[in-house]
Amino acid sequence: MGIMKFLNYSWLLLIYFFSSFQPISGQLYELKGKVFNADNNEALIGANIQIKGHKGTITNEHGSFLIQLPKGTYVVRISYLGFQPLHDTLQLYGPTEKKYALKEGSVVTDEVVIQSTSNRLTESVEPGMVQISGKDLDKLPALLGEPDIMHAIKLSPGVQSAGDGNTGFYVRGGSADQNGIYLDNSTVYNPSHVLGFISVFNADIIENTSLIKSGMPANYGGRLSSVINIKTKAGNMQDYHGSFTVGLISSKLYVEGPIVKEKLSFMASVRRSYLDEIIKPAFQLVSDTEAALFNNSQYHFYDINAKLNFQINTNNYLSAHFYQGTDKYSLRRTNFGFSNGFDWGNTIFGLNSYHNLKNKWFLKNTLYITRYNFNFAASQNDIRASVFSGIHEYAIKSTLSGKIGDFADSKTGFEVLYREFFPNNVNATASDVELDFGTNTIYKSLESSLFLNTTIPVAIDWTVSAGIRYTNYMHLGPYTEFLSEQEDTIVYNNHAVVKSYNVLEPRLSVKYSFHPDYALKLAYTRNNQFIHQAPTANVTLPVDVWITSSKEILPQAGDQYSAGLFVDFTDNLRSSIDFYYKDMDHLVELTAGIIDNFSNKNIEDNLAEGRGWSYGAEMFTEWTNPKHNFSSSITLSRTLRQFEEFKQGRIYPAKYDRLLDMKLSYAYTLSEKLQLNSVFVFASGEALTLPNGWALLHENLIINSGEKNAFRLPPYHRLDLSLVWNLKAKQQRDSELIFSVFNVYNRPNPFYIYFVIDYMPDNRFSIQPKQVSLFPILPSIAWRYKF
Amino acid sequence: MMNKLLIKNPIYLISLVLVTLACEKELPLNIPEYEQLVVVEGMVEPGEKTRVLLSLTAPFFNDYDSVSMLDYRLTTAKVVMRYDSVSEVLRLTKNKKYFPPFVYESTSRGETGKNYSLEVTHGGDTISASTYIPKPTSIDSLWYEQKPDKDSSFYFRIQFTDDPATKDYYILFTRVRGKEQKFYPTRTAAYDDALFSGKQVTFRMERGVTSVLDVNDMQSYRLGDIVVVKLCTVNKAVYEYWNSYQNLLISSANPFSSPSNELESNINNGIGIFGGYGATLDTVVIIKKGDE
Repeated sequence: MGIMKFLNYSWLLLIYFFSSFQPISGQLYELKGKVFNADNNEALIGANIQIKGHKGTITNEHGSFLIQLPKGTYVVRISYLGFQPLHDTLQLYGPTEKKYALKEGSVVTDEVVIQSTSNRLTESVEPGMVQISGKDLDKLPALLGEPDIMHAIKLSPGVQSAGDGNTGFYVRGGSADQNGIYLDNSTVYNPSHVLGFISVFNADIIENTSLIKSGMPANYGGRLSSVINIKTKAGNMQDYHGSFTVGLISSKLYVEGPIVKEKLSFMASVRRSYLDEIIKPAFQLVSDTEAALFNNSQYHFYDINAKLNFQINTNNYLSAHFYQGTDKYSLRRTNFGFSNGFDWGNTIFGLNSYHNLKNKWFLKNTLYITRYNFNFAASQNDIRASVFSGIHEYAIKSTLSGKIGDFADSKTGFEVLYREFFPNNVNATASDVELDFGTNTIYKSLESSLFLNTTIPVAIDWTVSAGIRYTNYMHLGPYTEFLSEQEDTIVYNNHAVVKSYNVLEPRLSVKYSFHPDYALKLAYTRNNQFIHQAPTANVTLPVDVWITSSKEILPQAGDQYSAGLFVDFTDNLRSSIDFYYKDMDHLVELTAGIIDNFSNKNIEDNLAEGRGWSYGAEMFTEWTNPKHNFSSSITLSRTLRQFEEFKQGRIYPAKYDRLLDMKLSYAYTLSEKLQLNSVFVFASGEALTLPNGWALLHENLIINSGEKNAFRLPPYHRLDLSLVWNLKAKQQRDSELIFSVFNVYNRPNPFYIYFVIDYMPDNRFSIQPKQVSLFPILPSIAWRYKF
Repeated sequence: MMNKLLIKNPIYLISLVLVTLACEKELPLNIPEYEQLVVVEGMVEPGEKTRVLLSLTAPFFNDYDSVSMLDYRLTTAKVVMRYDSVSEVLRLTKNKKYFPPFVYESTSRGETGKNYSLEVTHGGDTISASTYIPKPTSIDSLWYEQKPDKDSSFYFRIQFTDDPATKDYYILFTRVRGKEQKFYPTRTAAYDDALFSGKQVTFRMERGVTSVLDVNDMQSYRLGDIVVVKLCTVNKAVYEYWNSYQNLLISSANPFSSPSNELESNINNGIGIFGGYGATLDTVVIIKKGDE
């Protein structure tokens, strides 16, 4: 009922919205063109011609088209199923004729709205949208032979890496759980292997990636800070291609090709590490720490990606993808009588279908299952414990996009997500007694959203993207609510509604192009998030548990305002400055360790709730030419938190509040065969709590901690280099050697600080702070063969 | 404390791995001015005099020895204990069992089921706390076992039954007669009956950390030791204090510790503990090798 009412209302609103606009009229010029196949010069019939903000058209039986447009600068997109789309920026100051040759390639016509593949900053309405293509990845140092999309994302302005050995990253002061990461539209809950050193996304399979950190259109939601959308390759419909890479820590194989030519194709990749075999001795060489622990330990990861693509006919396209990855670690120490093991990983299965409808409307449907599980088991002498934590998500999404009227690029659709949470299922026995950690809890929820977003050129130099997203969230049973310290409880049956929330999120982005190469962009976004990752330790680890909103845990809510100037000085030089302010409410932190949360009650009894703010300025510059490629992003920002439970509710800096965050990258093509890539990162030190003296209690020294996060670690900085040497560049066969050095000048970046009591003769002692650094200089070599 | 670590925080094990990969160095930090606080260590038990040790927090990064640590004792405060309608001023006595060896002592003795409050005045500041002595729990059984592969190292097992009618917390202490002047908590001393409400349970007791002054801590119980075991029923505040105390002893500023790893004090305007302990005592002599 509520939904129907809302739907009716929003359509009314939309109609009202359109009726108040008059199309902009004036002198019109003709743009004539012809589209043909680049290989055989055959005319392409029915190819799509799209011009942002204007009525598009299709080619006639001779492959020709004609559009009338007012004077101005346009980006024309020409697409045809089974061909690679083409973008052309043209200035129309009179009648113009163009010819477009399309190359074959199996690119899915995904969305009607132009997803610009050019690097122009002034094009999109959304200020905080960054596109990274596979080619951009090739310009970054391949660490340990692996170019990595997450490393590339962490180089964007406003995105902070949390440092070595830390899975998480932070976008504009938001915590790590506020980033939605999607692989072909399916959620990925843990994007890291090896504690964040390598991402789960094998670079071989990535077609392109987009990051949205502000001005999020209404078709995205459920996360407060950012959306990262990774699209994988479709699989060649014509020929077989592939590559394999042999590196020091892992090797991988990638293949793609047709099963039925022009109808059905596949893409698959496999990657496996042999970290434990190779890196053990390597670490022993570079660090003087004894690796004795390693002697009885095992560590490895693997991942598998597979995709099938089915071109049903010119208007319908189906793809199915599968991902599985696991990190496994085990350790035995017979002298202490203990052994333990962990493993964690994601499993994803998804289906996407794409349909061209009448009048150039386009429908995209997604169906997926994603599971993230973490297992831990340990035993020592007669104590045995095991912990299981996980989140399972089942989703259906549908997006309809096209033009309303002649000019309003619109998207509407729905999403339904059903989730199951297993936050901290603990089993333990001591001697013969089974310890009662309470019944193992499962939390269930259903999140349903409706959205509508539309982009309208309201005047020649003004474009508005406005959207609204409505979400109904329900926390479902089974659930036992404890009313008080007594035995009073309310028991909810399976799938009974325990608590429901309804939220409405307005989104607005405005672009004012006062000059063809200059754009002023403003954005306001409201977001709500119904899942929470409670940090169990001060660094983000795979064990961090996911929990869902309930009666006590209110949905996280965020408001973000941003304003920026984006300039394309020339085709080779672009720059932007973007200011933001973000306000976040109902953030959560655990007040005790993960298993301290046993009790026969609910996990939310051990949570603290608080607020956060972040504000800052992000400056970005990119300069490219055939030989050189330079980019710099500099962020100045502050991030603050306030929790009633911590330090009497005083405002304190967030742990990852870094005033200055700078990333420079430079790629230099020395010759056709040699390319040098480099990255330098600098971030001012993260906040930490220092002891405010010690107390003598029961004859031991106990640290009395001082003001929360009042002090700063030394800054983080690092230089990475890699050299790609192409051994033989034959037509489609490449053989490359990749030399890379991580942390070139061996900077001991702080990973964490701890305090030790140094005992000296004569009963004297002193307390020393010690710093632990994770990754020293790591040179490596890899060989890649492409066919 | 490894048992407890394993059970309580599996991620400590990741830290083991990381530390092997990692390198360490000393870190120069700008040390802040510190704010001096009053530290209270007080205990009240059935049939025992109330004893309160006072000291002040000390700057963190200094060299210390047992003499300079004494500089932080507090012997000039006024300490008043209240229970029922009685108000008693505690008297400063010298007692070498404790460190620093100055103890504020009552003449009255603790009683089960009573509430006690403490007020310390020092230099214009008032520091206060209150506690309660819960009903003691009897020990069903107590025995020792020899550690495998080790000649004369022993641990204990204690068996007791939780009262299903009450919410209980327990702290375990031992004292090796002749070697120790007073009771020290066992390696994993604090238990919450949420895990075993109304059940009979058995816990393994390993000798715990004794004193910062004792370099050879974390010893085992030995053949010939006369060991006094003390099982105490306590309230939630006292349990939380000991739990956080033992966590802090091992973890300090370890990033794998829980985010709010702080000492859970029950002292207003100070830190430390004023605890009521419902104590039950038993003594065992380790007389022969092998299981009894």
